[in-house]
Amino acid sequence: MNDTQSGPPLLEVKDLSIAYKTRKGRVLAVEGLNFQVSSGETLGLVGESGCGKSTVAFAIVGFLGQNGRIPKGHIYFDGDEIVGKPQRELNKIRGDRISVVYQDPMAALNPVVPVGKQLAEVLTAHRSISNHEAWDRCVQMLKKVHMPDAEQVMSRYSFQLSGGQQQRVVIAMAMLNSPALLIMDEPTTALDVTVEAAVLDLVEELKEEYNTGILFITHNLGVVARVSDKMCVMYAGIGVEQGSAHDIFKNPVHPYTQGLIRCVPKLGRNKEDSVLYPIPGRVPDPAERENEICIFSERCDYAQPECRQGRPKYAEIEPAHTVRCFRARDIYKNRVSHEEIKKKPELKDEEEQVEKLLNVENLKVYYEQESKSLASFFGMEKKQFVKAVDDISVNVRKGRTLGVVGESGCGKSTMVKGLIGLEEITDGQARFLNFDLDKPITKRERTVIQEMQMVFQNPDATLNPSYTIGQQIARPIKLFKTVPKKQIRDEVVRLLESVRLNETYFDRYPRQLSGGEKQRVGIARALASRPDLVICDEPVSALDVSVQAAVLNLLLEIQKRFSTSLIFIAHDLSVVRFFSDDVVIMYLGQIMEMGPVEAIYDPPYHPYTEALLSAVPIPDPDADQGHIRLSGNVPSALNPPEGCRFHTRCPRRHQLPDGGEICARERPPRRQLENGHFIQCHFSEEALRNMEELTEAHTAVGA
Amino acid sequence: MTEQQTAEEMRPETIPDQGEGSVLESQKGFWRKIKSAVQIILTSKTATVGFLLVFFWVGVAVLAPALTPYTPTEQDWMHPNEGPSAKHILGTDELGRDLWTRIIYGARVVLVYLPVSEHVTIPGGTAIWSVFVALVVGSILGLISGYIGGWPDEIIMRLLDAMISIPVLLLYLLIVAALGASAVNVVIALAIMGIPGIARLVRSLTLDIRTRDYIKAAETRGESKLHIMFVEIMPNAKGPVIIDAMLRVGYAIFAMGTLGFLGMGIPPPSPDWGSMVAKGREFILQGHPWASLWPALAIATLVVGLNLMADGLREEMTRYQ
Amino acid sequence: MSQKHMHPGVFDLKSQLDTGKISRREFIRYAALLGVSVTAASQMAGLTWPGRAFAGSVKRGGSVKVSAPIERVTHPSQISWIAPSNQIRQVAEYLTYTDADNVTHPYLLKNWEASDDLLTWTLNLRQGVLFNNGDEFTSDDVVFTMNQWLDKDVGSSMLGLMKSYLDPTDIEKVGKYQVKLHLKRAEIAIPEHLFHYPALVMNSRTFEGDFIKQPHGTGPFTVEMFREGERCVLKARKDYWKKGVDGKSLPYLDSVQFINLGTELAPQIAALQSGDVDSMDMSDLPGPQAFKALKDNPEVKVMGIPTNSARVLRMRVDVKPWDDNRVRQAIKLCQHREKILGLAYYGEGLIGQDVHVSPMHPEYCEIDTPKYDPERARQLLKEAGYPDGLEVDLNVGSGWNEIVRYAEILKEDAKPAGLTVNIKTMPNSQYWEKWTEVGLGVTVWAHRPLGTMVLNLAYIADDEGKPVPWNETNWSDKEFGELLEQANGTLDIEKRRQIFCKLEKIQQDRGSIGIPFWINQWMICRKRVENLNAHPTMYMYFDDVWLKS
Repeated sequence: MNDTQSGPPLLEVKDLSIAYKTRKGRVLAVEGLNFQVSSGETLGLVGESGCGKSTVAFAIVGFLGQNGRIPKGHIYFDGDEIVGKPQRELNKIRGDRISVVYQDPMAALNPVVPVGKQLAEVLTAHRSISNHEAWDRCVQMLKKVHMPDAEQVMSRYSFQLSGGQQQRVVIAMAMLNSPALLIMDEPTTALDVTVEAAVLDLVEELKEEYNTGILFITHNLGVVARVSDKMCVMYAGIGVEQGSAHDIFKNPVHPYTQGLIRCVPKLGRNKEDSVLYPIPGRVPDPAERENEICIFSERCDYAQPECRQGRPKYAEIEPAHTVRCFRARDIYKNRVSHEEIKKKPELKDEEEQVEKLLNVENLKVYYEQESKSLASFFGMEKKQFVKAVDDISVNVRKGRTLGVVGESGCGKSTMVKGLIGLEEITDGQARFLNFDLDKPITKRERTVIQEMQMVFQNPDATLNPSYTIGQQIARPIKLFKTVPKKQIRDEVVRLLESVRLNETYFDRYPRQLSGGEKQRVGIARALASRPDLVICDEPVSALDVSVQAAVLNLLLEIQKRFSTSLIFIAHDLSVVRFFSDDVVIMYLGQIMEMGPVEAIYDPPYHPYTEALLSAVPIPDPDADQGHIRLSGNVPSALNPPEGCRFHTRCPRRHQLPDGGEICARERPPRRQLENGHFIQCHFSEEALRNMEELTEAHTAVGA
Repeated sequence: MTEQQTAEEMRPETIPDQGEGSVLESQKGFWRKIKSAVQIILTSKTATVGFLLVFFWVGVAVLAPALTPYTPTEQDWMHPNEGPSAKHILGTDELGRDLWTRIIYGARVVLVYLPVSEHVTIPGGTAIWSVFVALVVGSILGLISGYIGGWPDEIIMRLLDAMISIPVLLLYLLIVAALGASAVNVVIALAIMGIPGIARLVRSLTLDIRTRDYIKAAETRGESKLHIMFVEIMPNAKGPVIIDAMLRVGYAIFAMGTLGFLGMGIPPPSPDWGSMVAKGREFILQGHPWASLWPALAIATLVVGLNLMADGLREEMTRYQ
Repeated sequence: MSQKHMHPGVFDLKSQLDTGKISRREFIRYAALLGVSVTAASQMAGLTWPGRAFAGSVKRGGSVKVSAPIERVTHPSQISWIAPSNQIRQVAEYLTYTDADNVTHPYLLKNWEASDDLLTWTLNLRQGVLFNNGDEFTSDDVVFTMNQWLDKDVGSSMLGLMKSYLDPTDIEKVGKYQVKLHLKRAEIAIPEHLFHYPALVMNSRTFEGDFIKQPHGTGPFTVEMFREGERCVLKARKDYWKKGVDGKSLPYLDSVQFINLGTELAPQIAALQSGDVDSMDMSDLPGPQAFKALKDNPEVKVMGIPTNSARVLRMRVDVKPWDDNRVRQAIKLCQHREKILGLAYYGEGLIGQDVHVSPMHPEYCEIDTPKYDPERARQLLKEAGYPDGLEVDLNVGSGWNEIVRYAEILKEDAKPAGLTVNIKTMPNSQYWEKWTEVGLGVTVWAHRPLGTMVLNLAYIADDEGKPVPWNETNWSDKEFGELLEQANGTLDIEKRRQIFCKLEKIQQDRGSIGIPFWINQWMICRKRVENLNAHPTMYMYFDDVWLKS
């Protein structure tokens, strides 16, 4: 992975600055950036949002728009200067030699043209090739990106494909012209871990096969660690550290790089034995950047007065490892530790002493499938149900955190909605504080509502843009009358302070806040009614890593202080591992595995858990990780597979004595292992315990 | 560990700020808001031109009595149907009334006050009121339809479909014919016509906004549907709705013109632009175009002005989103 | 242009003749006619049609094109508007003719006679008149035609006019050239009724329900081509009964073509200006606009003629505040008549005196025109109990431009009197839905040749004291009713005028209407068309029209 090829660079970015004209005048989005990408090499461009990563990609393909321009610097592609080239020539290069894959595949595909036609156009547009031949090559390419039923997919429309399939189509499209350079801008951010892992594998494969140079833009260090040969860490438009991925992960020198790596929970860690180190503050807006200082000094733990006296230059720390920091040598020499300080594990309460706050048994939440057919209008059609949550039993203990993990569409959110009353519970029992949660929220008692609150995923949507922070936190206080009227403001300020914001936020509007701050306000609002149970629906997945750490710490602190119970939904297994006491692994509305966090993350695994863990991108290029990939999509909950829900995708199924026929036939038993650990699988405990790691040959089973 | 956490704390003096608009918004006061709105308008050439046209008409409407020595119904019966002269700068109509006076008082009816009866007038012009009423009713229907969904949605949408399926003009005529011609009935007719569009707009905005987490947050607080619709959703739909309303004022002026032209507008002798065009038309053939030319120009400039302003504003607003 | 109404002179002459030797009632109208048609004193004998032509100057030949709506006509009795009758009238004819001065003459009749009680009318037919298929015109045709009018299945508007006094059994064929009508009640307007536009005489031998298939009339033209919505071409016949000034049979023209140019005024005006057509059928066109557009065109003759048609400001006397005559008088005093006629109808008409008898009616008795007097009006309102003024709603149909203008002027001029007039506009059709119901409104009243006809329609009560159906103001007056009854039984015009002096005075003093002006109608044609004259009914006659070379 780290065998950096020497040779003429395919792409060379030299001292590149990019400026935008805005209402506030000209702002520099990128300043003095240097990097090189050679053929057959992947360069990971990393940084928080707002660091200018995508801007660089746009500059390379010449899409800066009307108000963007390049005041300084060069971009050489294959030795040719791109900056200042007329659009016509750029267009040619763009279509033929450089391809781009963006984050949202849906936006890259035309929904009214069949996928195959769009693919074929790529070929026919740039070279004289017969339609028939183009078609064949497209099918081949789809097969190369491991698209099941490649021929059939050609005649489908983009909306008939799943997210992962769409991204494969986009990648296939990008690869059709066998481009010399492939730019991938957060290509996996919108995808599930399992799909992400498969796409990353694909990227790697294609690179090997076509000797393509790849510029891979992402904020996810785990992803970078998995695919990159070289890395360039960007901060506020400036490249701060460059080198091979191996060197940087091993010896991150720039305080920003260190911060990025430290603030991500490692898969093996949990809250008992480690803490997360958020990077304070946030990326300054391009318009507010000061020129003559180290731009990171504001947020830097190592900052000295000298850091504010000029801009640091690149310094080579190791061969091919350069850092822009005044104190780089210092840090490198002293190896100021970026290792986490290990906490002493605290003594746990005895399990039995912890009371059950929420007790869910055989919960079912079904939706009626809306049919537009005439027959259904007259009630002549059999009603169909989406079994979003199908027979789930789970407990939440007081003051503890229940982590819920699963791919999208597995029913995590529906379960939570059922509990909180936004969806009607179809069957089963849920008891919370001695109340039955069988009524929708509009009919529930005040107390139940008050004691169960929710924190949401999207920081930009969690707050109503029309009201001030103060008004929004005060609302639940007024509603539930937790304090007398006169003290409402004080109570709001107290809540703001408990989420580490202060009174100055009272009169601000959400748009004046950063994502992390909004999320904290969301937490403060959830806490305002003084609930016993807070449900966190992916509260950090939309945040930058540095902010994510701060929010997670905050939640932990709050839990400790108010002894609040949490249900924590996430798709990031590292975060769940770090954060939870108990974990539930869900698949297609059912629980596959459940138990204390340590038990889940150690063998024996449920095959699904195993696959998930194997897919998690780990921010360490040398990490030893299993290589299990799930193929296909999560089946529709309208017609869930018989027997074991997971059997259609299960990579272990064929290892059963009967070749896994039972999996398709019978619902697996709920095997109780020690310590409240359950696995729902036909494999016996011993079998699960003694599982060998799968070889790659076995990964492509199922449809 | 504690050090790390204190380091994470934000410095209170760094007020994150993402745009000029938000600074202005945090400063309180009505005039500041107006000022910021004007500033937004002035950044777009389109909006500026539109704004000037609209401002002109609002200006002459407000100042009408000061801008002319005549009243709009005063008849100089020895001088009917005359072209522009020193005495009557835009000429006179078929009853010898001063056309300039009638035009600017006509602008008043459109923009500044609504003649409820001969003696009672309320502020806000006919066009403004019709849009306002449509806005209120349309928003309520749109909110219910979009937020509550289910059969109320079905009923409301089918109702609106039915309304839309009737030719606009026919519906105007039916309504005014049923209610009789008066300013208030014109408002009612135009409002009814405006409702489906606004309701659909608000519905689609609601369908989008209701999926936002802050709505779910309100629901998990057990807020009532009314609270969610009017307190949580409506304020966030107002941007597009306001721009739409601005365009609708234009349509309303047009529709008033049409109604007036067909003799169903605000009853005479009120200086209704549409009726002025209709009555003046009779005299075009004999070489006296003034009586219909001026009000036609007035309608055109005001409608174009409103459209330009709305277009410009929309551009500006989407640009800074 | 037929010259200004010289009724006083006409009347004088007529009354002289009347008191003179000529035998009694039958000749009253003849006498009147004599007065009008000074050029044709000798025509008294009824030898020729009262000539409108100027002898010696006529020229024969040529064709006239007229823009007109071409509507399918099957049964002449079913004609429901003037426009189709203008085409059919050139082929079939009426028994009588009411001239532009509202004096009625015999036409296909030689003369008529009414009994003293006005219950028996003897119609003597003109002899020697041939249908265009060669059949002779006889009393059979008259009886047949009248039976068609009275046949419910035919649905002629003549039925409405006549059914109250005539049944089919009341028509008696006395001889080949004489028909007697035995009326159920007295009626003086029989000759006028016979001039109603569907009253065309049909050929009893050939008529089978579709006149275009058997277009057999006594008129000067025959149907050459009739295409609905396109054109109607009429050709001159050789053996027409009327003779021209040159002694030969009329018509002078070879043919008349009616061309459908749609209903809009503008294209028709354009066609007239360019010479594509020679004239226009005005019955469906906005006359004032055509007048305004063409009056200054040197190529075109625009001939106005006063009519008995008016825009009537009517007040429901059983509705407050119009039950008080002082209020009625007050609003009447707010009419500035010269201004109203000048602005609302461009001065094209005669000033009205708030009585529903026009100076053009034969029985008109001259009466003073009330002055615009807001002060007096204010005084009256005060006396009526409205010292602080009064606010009233005035209902008008917005389709009648002149009415809207009238209303606007009235509103403005009523202000000084403390009278606030709120104009309520509505589509014309809607006005007709409630024209009898509204308190104050302006109603269009069509032309009627006799003063008694309109007074009988709208200003009396029936035997039970209830207002008659068209009495839109619900006004009735005992004295007025009795006088009118008397007038109805008086054939002598001079005597009738004496009664009308009183009737008019009553209506002006305590009546329920304001009539500020009587409107003109126009005949418009190109200069080369001679002798095409304006008629208050907008009827067109082409029999003695000729073209200048």
